[in-house]
Amino acid sequence: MTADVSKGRRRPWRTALVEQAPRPPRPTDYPSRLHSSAVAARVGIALGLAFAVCFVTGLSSHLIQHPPGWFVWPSGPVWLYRVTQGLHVSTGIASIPLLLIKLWAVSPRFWQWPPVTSVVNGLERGSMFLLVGAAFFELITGLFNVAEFYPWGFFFPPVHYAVAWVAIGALVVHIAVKLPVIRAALSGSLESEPVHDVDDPAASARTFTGPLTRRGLLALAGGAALTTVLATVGDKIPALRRISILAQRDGSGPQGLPVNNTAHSAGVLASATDPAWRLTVVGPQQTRRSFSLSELRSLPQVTATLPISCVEGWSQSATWTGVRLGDLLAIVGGDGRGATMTSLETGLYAVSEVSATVAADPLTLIALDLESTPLDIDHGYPARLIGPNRPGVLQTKWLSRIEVHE
Amino acid sequence: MTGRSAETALRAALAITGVGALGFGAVLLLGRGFGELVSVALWFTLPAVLSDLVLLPAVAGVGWLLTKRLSPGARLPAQVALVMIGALTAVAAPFLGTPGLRVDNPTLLNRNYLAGYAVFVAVILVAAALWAVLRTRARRVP
Repeated sequence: MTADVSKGRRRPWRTALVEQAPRPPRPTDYPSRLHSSAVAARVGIALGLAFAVCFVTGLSSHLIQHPPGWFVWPSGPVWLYRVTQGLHVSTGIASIPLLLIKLWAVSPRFWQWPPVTSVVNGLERGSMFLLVGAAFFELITGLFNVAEFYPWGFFFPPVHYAVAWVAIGALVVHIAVKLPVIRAALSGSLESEPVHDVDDPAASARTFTGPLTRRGLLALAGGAALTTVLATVGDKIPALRRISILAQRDGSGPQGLPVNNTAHSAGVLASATDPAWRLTVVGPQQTRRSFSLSELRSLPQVTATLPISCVEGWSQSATWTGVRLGDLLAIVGGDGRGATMTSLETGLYAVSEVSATVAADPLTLIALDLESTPLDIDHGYPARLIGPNRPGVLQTKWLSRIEVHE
Repeated sequence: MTGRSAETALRAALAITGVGALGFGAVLLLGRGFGELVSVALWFTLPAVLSDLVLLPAVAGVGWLLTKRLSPGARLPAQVALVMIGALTAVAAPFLGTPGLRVDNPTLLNRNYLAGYAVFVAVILVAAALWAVLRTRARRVP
């Protein structure tokens, strides 16, 4: 053979080829000092807090809409749901840049080699997939719901709720796994912690210090989160409307109030304007009274300033005038009880329940007027429910029937 | 209890709570129909996989390019501007084409999202450019 001739020439060539052979990246290929558990832990705490707020506010919104027997949601303060649901959407939006920056900070670890080193490591990576998958799922579906864009094949509310449990569960498992790392990262100084905890002197030597410090990256994460909130929060805080270029609404609408579901899409244009319309109120012993619009207007009228607070996050205050629900229930002997409100519309949001607490609240009205003029048909003409501290979806419009609970 | 065993107990309690919540979420999901679950699986998996295989490598590539090509004074302003624009774009994405628009409801999605987004991006770019000029000048002063 000719090995003796070519040996000396081939070897360096071959070595060079091996060195440049394509391979997946390794954690140590990322030289930036910003990839560090010191950064990941701090962004992670902000993101974890945002997720906790999202979870608690989302869970309360779910319970208000599907109350189990033990659950009591107060009828005041009137602005409480407005705040909790505004927080839900805004902390979710702030989480989008935080999640991306957090994933970027730990991204070298994705390329760990070998991909799984032990059973525990495998479980940990599996729980990471659940956490990242659920986090993206919740933030994307939540954001798209605000944009009323549903490019998927599932019903948003129950699935967003179910995956919220997956996200919060995977997050708590992740904290359990990482607790020692978090403690170590927080006890050291932000700038001096090692790069992505790799004990490899060769990798440490390649560490790259760019102009952005770790402190600067944390400030940038906060700034990006704040910017996304300011860009979207104007449909909740009217003072910020002008700068909230990505708000779901500009706040305009018939009688100065936006509309979520129009009379046209609810299919009630004819039935709501029918002169034969009556509001039927059914009492405990099947006592039944029907009221025409003028009969309702002849009852004592009350004015209250209450917000519409949509589950999609937008909210706006308005002044409503009408009959106290408690007064109406008392006429059929139903005072002190809750009631079922039924709309002229059919479908998902045609019926809502009013608890005894809310029915007894003097601010809970069967509204006939908005801003001193009769309700626009899109706001529920001839009569709608408006109560304090409730999601807009439960403020039933185009009422046709009120039935006192047994 | 010593500090270490207290921490172990806390971690165990967290792990059990977390697995319980995960399990509850899984039970809720399994109550949905098969067709819904296929769609859920897709929207659960794709963003996570694409972020690791496409988005983050692309960001690494952009970072590498910035480091190699930009003058030192312009790097930090460019980094900050790109992160801000990236965050804004992620949130703006479903609004820009207003696919959720409903013809019967003029009170919904009724802002000029494209123009507002363009103004925001322009403000960030102009601010970053000014910052880069100031930084570069400051570096030249001996």
